[in-house]
Amino acid sequence: MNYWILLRRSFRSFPFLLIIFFMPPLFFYGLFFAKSSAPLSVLGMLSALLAWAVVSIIKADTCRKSTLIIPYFRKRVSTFYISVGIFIICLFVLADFFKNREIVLGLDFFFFIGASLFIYGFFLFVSHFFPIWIAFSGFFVLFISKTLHVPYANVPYATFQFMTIPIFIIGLILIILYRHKIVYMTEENNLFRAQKYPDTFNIRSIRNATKSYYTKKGFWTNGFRFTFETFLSIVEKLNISRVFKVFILNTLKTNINWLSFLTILFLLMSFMFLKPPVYFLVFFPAILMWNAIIYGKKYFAADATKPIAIKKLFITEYAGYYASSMMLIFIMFIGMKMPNIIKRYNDIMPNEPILPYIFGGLFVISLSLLIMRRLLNAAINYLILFLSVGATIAIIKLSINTKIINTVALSGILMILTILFSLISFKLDIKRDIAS
Amino acid sequence: MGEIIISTKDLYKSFKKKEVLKGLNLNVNKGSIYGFLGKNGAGKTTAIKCLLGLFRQTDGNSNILGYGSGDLPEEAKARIGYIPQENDLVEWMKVSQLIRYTKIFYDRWDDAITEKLLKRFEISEKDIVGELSTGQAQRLAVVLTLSFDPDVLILDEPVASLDPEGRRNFLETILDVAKDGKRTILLSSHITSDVERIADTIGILKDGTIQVERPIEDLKDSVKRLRIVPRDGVIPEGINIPNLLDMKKEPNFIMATVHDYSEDAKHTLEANYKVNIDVFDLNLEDIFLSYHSNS
Repeated sequence: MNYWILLRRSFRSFPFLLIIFFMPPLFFYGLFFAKSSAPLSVLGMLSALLAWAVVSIIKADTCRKSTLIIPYFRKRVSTFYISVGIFIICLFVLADFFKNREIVLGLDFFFFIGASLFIYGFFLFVSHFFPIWIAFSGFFVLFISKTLHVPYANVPYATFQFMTIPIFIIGLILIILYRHKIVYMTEENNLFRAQKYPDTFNIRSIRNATKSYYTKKGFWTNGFRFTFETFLSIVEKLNISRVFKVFILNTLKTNINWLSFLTILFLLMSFMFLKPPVYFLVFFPAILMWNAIIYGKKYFAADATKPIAIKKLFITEYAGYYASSMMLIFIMFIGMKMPNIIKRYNDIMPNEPILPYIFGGLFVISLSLLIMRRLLNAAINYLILFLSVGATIAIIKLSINTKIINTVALSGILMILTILFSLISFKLDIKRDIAS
Repeated sequence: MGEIIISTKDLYKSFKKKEVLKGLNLNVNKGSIYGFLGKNGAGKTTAIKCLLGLFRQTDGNSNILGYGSGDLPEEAKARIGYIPQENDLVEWMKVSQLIRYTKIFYDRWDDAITEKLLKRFEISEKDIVGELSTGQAQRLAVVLTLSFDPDVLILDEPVASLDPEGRRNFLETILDVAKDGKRTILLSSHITSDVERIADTIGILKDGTIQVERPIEDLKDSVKRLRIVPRDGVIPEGINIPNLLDMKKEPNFIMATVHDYSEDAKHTLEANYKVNIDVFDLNLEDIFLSYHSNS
């Protein structure tokens, strides 16, 4: 086989490879700054995101050009990308273990590797066949991680030893099955034909690919419409200024997949049940912003020709991002704190201060406003997302652990930086082209 | 000359090193239907986006309704309707929800117009926007734009995605809207037959500047195709045809297209080069092609 062609094809997707090779050092960086090791839920989350990236690149590079690629070549290309993913997962786990754990290569190490591979394989499968990864990721990553974590924390060590092997094997089987599906998929396959990806993997391509998700008459999207209809009816009757009405509906419109009644209920229940670690307060707003970047720009240009001053529209948009992320943080906060009420959950609630993480969540929104929104390349945005979330969490953790600064002061600093970055972003925004 | 509603003066717009508009001068009179013609990539959309303040111009001025495009006040925007080339409607909403959402922005929204146009375009309010065909979505954009009764309509390739019936329907709607002569319409397109049917003024954009801007009848009177036949059967060397747009040499004659045609110039040419000249009228498409000819 001509490996030179394979290499050239790989470099065509250079931004993704760049991310893939940048992520382990970034993760190392984040982990070395923070004292405690990342729990399994974080490794699971990273594995799921990695699977999503790998699926996207395989779709763009292998499936779409299927008529040009002989099965043997498709086999090589998909194996290459899948293997890079496995390699990175091993690096994640190694980075985590080298830091704090006494037994570096014990059975628990293999358990973490196995669990991560399981999640990776599961998401390779799920992300390829269902573009509704947003809905799946939040729930399943946490669910799977937590389900695996509970026996790790509570069951006898012998049982735990026994569990390592099947989880590892199931993970590998899922990965092999996915690769098999990709390699032997034919043009006639409906799933294959239904998913068309453009040449380059950018924001526009994600938008188009997920368009169907937003328009289907499903339970989930009907939830969007029901929520919007309810607010629309209320806002129409309210005797408030037009700008305020626009603010409410605009916020809802741009962030509907986070703010619909159904999602709120779903998130609340998930957070109550799964008790995620506090740094999800930073991670989720960043994901929200990532989603808003994809849809916000198009809608903003459309609204910019309507009778509202550009400055007011920007303020509305900014306020909308903060309002929706505060709403999300509030839901997460309630979800995290609710189990405290139930006695039996008391001992497994995180004992970390929560305030700096809440402001950390708002801080990543300002970072996204300032940096991510100006770049239309999904790969670079993805990298920045990781960098900003990782660095913010690491700095907060470091500050809390070393007690260099008290939590209230740290929250204050984050708030000041949030305001500062938002103002700089606003200044830059009103000078730039609105339409793309 | 009437009141100028839309104008640009020496408008420049660059994207990094690529200069798209190079001193664009455009004037649209009140009540006029202005056909803004240009090839794909000529800069029509860029010019329109500069006019609407969606792009910041690199240099020069652009105005709508007497206001600078860079900072259009709300009262000006409330009088401007814009239909972009690609629909930017919110896909997950129902048609009724999108109408109600858009209505919130406008004080002078007319539900009767909305209802009439939805019926005319056969769009159901219960439909989901993302499930509409491209043509239906474009028609919905027309409904949303005309429902607030704008004084200025800016249409960027609005019929490109419509079938013949849809195009006819759309053009009739535009003519309906424009019949009282109070509205100003800027219609960007490269489908010359549609523009010819409704526009009263034509501007042809090429290489980032307006090559010609005239009332359509003037333009048709001005641009002619000449069939130049030498009396002795030999095509004269170095023939100098004034105001030449394009020229094609055949074995026994020359076909040339000129602008600013005059009978005097024809007689001079006939006398100087000992040729007979037949003059032909051109339709807008031929005129457009002549302005873009390289021959």
